[in-house]
Amino acid sequence: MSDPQAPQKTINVLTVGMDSRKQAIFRMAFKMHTLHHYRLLDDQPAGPPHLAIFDFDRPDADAAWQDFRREHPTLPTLIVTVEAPAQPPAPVLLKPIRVETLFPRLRQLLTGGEAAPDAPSQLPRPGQAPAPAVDAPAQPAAETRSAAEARPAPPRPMATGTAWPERIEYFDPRQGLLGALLQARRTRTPCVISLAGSKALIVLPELDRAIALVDEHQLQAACLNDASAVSSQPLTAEDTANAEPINLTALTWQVALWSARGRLIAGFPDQAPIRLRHWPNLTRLAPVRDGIRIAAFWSRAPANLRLTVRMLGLPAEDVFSFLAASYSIGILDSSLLKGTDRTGREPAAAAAVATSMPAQQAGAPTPSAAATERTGFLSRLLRKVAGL
Amino acid sequence: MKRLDNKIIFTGPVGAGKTTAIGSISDIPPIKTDAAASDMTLHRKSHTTVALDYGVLNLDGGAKVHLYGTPGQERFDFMWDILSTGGIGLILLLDNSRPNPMKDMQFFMNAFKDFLREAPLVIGVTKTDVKPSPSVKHYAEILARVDQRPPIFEIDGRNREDVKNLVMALLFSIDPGLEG
Repeated sequence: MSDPQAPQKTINVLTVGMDSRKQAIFRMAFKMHTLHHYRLLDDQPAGPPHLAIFDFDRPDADAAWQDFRREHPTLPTLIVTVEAPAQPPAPVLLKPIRVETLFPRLRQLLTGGEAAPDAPSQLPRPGQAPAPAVDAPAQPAAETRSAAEARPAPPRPMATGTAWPERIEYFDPRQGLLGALLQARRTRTPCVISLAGSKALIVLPELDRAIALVDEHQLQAACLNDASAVSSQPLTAEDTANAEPINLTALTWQVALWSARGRLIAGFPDQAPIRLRHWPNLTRLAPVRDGIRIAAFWSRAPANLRLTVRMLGLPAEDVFSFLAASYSIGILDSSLLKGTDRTGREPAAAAAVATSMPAQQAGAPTPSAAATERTGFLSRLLRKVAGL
Repeated sequence: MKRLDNKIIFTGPVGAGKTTAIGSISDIPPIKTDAAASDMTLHRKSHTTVALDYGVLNLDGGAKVHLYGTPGQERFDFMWDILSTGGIGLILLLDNSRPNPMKDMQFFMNAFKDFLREAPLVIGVTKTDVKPSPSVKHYAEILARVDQRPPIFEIDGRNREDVKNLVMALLFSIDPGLEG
């Protein structure tokens, strides 16, 4: 699969049901976009279309759609419309169309990524079977470099309207190496953690330090196996090491990421409001993709997992990994977790959090031109900084 | 809606690394405006030096984002309001090796309190290798007591990735839904 960020050859776009005025709008948008070279097929009919944009706002939309599909049964297609049909046959982008939403959708279509329709229901793209429930081990959602090598994972273009997974994988943070670390931190007891009978870590919670007696790969390997034999004994005078101490918080964060691997903490209610007591020290912690974005969201106002995934348009696995890491270093606001709002209601405060794209998708009033301009400017600044 | 003047303000005490941080991400070498200035009416001094740092980020389409480093000396606080008006946000750099960096934090947050009513704050703590305490966690917990949760990161102003993280945190604090 091609890298959606990499410049590519010309992408031929077939428009369906559009007059010249509507096509002109897309033509202008394509000219402004420099990352990919999109071209209206009507302008220069060369080669087959790579994707289509279908205007559904016409009286005979259903019949036209059937005709179109007969001719192009598998062509990735984006439906544009003022009001999404109840059962849209393809991903939908609601009008008014904004370039900030258009191009991420087109990229999703090109890469075969999730392109959930704006409308409530989701349908597979043509020629694509519904996604099966995931039985295979989840892929590591976060990069597993050491904290010392940590670099911010670049924010990805938002996959707005990301679906909540049909099936969720869970893990138990009380088990294994992570469990031993959490126990040591909780009891503030200096200890030695052994893996399969061999001493692996000296943990000094009071100093927020640890000394690794094995290399990083062995620690990671222990986290990959939920059934690893991990034991912990109190530190004795005989337990010494010459290795340089490392930061225990950073180690715990890393071990949590290795252990979670995109899985959700067992028993964590998906409707529980989440808020961070404070930001994690992200410049000194192993990167989690879109960690800054999630931290910003959870620092503003409480939001449950479903709302977070929906509002930020991130894969749930990344959110679960960030949750596990945040939980492990103790920055989740536990007062909210013990609260009463586990009934499925979305915290009003979080629902009111203003983010740029989701508000559009929810059918909210179109923001003012000034607001749109501001968001566009900040997005350009973000792209610039991320690309430095 | 608040008008934005396409500028990000770097502030903090003298020696916190403002110039270095600006230089890490600026598209031009940071410009330092050392100039003689009179503040006799305030401090009965004949001369002093004003140091204003300036850098720039050039965006697609010709737009620019100006990076201003405020003079760290308190006696130039009259400039802070002028500089910050209309800014996108405030990046406060704290030198952990100073005698009381926690007090520095409170001072600068108070000095910019009007600006911070409308704009986000991000805190970068420098020189933690020289003096690890207070920890970033300690700063954060102090702020959380007054229901403030700005991003607080350990940074090295010479490290572009660290400074990038500060700016990205600033932007996502404005809108976590921003697209990169």
